[in-house]
Amino acid sequence: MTTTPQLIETPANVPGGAQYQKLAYLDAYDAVLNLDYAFVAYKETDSNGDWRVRIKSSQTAGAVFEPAMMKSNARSTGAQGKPWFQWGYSFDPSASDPRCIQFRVHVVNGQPSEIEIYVQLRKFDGTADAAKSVKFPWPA
Amino acid sequence: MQIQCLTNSFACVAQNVAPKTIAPAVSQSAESNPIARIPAHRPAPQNALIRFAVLNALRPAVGFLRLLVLSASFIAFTSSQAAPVTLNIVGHLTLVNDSSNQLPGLTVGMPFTGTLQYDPALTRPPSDIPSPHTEYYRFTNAAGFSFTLQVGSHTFTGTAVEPMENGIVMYDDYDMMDRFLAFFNPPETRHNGNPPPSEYTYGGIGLTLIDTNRTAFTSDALPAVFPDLDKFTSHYIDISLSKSGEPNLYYVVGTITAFTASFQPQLNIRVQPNGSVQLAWPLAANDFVLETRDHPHTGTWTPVVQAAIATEHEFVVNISATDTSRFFRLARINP
Repeated sequence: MTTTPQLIETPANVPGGAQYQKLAYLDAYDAVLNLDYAFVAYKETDSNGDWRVRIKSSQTAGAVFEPAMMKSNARSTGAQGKPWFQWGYSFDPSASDPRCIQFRVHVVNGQPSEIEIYVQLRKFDGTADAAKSVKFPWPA
Repeated sequence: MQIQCLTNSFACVAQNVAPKTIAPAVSQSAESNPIARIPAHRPAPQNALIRFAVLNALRPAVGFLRLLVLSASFIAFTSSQAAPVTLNIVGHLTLVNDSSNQLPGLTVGMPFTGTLQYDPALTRPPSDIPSPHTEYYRFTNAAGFSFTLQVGSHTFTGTAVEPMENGIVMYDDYDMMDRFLAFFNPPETRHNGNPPPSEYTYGGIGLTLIDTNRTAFTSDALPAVFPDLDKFTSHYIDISLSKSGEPNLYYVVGTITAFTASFQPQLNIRVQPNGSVQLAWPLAANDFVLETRDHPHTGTWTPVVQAAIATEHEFVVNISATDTSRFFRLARINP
């Protein structure tokens, strides 16, 4: 049995410093660019106990999810009646380019519940390929 | 060379100054750290008390003694100052979900008032959000960020303290909207002066302005001025409290029906290691100009000839300390 290596890795723990816990991984292929996009999500905990969630990407910028801001963003999203909000880097689809890369924070009862990495890239003909997505619980 | 603080105040009676009178900086420092932060653009009633920065060449012994006094004076002055951006709001409640009667007396339609204050200069370093269209600003202390909501007999306050569960999140054409979200999470809120039970870590108080047409803001910088309320498609406050993973203990939403905003940028003065003086003010004050004159009471204010340089967080002007004394202020270009 062989396992496919990840295209992007969680940072290594720093002795006496930041600790990293992998939360999710996703990769997808864009045929037009002949390029793999890879994403890894992890919880980063400082030596003083402060923590945050980060998404690191092989081809794009990522995202940083600070707990205090996630709480309030979720509350505001709940007040708007929306099920999720977007955070961090995004690539939104347009008429000429169907690619979509979004990091979504799903909200339940006005609180963050899950983070979703949502990626839709292109087939050889430039049309939208099937979307790929991975969700993981908000590590509160 | 020292920077001297003049503690005497005077009434601003110069008619040509009154509409745009600024309270400039007063400070002394042996380092480059700002020690004087004095609000500008203060509306100038006839009896407005104004203090000025004075750059003096003093004999060292005399200067040292005076500096001690001046430092104390400075502390007393700055501690009483409001943050430079103030948003006063009024509205009425549109949703009251309080089945356990935690907030007796609150009903839909009840009016509320509120005041949000923040100081763009007192934010923590910008977070590393990798998006040019969003930013999360956290504030370092109570002078930098506060919020008060009054609804009936209930007073809700938010004050920026550790652990800094507060902030303003700006969207500029992001997630299909422009948005200003100011919030305080439970650790930094009070209800009628009382903190929430520690197990209630979700909720708090917030103020949200949303423009789904995405034209209200032109960047994700902290706004110093606001467009009219009708520019926003949604504008509301919310008050809530809940435990992790549980529904809200209470949840109150109110629509903002009117607001007024004011901006009083602060002018900082720093003595540089080479003996020159650096004056600095927030980037948000991009419609202000630095002016100077030789005397606090007489003479004409004229723009400082040195060009202001925009750094990452502020405008700065460096001035050689050659004069015996000079006075500075920020003045709005089009008051």
